[in-house]
Amino acid sequence: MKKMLLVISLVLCLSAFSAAKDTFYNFTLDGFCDGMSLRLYTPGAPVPKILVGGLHVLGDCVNNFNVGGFKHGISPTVQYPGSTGAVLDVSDPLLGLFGIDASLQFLINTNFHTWTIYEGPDGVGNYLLNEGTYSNAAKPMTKGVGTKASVTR
Amino acid sequence: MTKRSLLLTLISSIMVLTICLAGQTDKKQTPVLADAGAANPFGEFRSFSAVLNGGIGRDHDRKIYRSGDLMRLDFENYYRITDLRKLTTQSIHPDRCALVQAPDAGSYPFSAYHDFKIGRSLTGEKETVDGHVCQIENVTFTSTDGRFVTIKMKLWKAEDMNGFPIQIEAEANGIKLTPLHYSNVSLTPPDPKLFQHPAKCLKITQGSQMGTTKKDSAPSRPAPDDKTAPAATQPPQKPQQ
Repeated sequence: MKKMLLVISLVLCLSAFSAAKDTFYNFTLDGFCDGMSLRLYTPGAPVPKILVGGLHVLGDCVNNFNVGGFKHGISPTVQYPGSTGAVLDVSDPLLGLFGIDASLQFLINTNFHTWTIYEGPDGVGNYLLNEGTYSNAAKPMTKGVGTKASVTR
Repeated sequence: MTKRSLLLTLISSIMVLTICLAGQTDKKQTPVLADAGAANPFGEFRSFSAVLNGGIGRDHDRKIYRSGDLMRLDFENYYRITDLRKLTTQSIHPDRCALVQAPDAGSYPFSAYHDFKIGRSLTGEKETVDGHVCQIENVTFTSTDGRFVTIKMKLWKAEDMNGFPIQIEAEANGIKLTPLHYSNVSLTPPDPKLFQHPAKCLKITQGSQMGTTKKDSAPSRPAPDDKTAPAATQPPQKPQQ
């Protein structure tokens, strides 16, 4: 009887995971022209939603850039002040496409609606580039109110 | 049986010792300001203020101030103070403060390459930049951690500003970085108040939000500039831009 219950519970859990709907985030970075349109999804049952794909919308105030990454827990010491818990950690090819050989990493906290950008420019360090809050946006997204992009601070 | 036990004990001991030693080898070493080889050219200027354009943060008219190991960078409605030695950044917003475990991009190159081997050579050439006659110096930073990272820089050192590098071109392993340009440079020590915390940010713990730090709980890490900046009761300085 116990075994049967265990099996049923397991099946139910797996079903729940497989039926988990994707989560979509559309937001503009407060004070800047750009935003993000992200999809959080599962690679398949029984793995929870941890994969992130999407666009850095108007990343240079003109063009969109493909981004991708993962949802994971991370120390609050590398997040926007006051933010804690898991982040959507996405890498952005924007700088490379403009001929700058540097990594660009967004840490987005969807509970606190905050973001932080790090840049690795020289094969040595990883620097705090910018940080801020975001506001949910309608889809399709329109240009933010700012006149500059978040990566140009 | 006894021999076997002894052998197993010996093997286990060797394995434990090996793991311990490996752990020590991998342990991240704190950057030291005493550089191997020549002196760090950016260590010569421990008190100044300037306006930064360019650099890895592609800053535009960013007002910066250095006092000792601290560098302040003004943003639109808040400021950051990077500890150039500890490589941490205090982010001071009107309503919150936090200690971020990374240097601000605008602190480059003053926060970089402390544990690198440094080679310096004056080229003997002179150029005028923004009306300042500059000596040109080539500087090479070479990693000492076996990763063979080499940073080459060309500094335009203003003769009338004790050789302050008002223009810097850099390349990392042959890849050019965004050039840096400093204007309105003043070698007069900046106002110490610029590096003080507002009263409500006196105890900045890692990732803490202003006003949420419990008074009776010890911070997970002491405020990094406790030694260099006295506690302040004044509100944060108004950003310069």
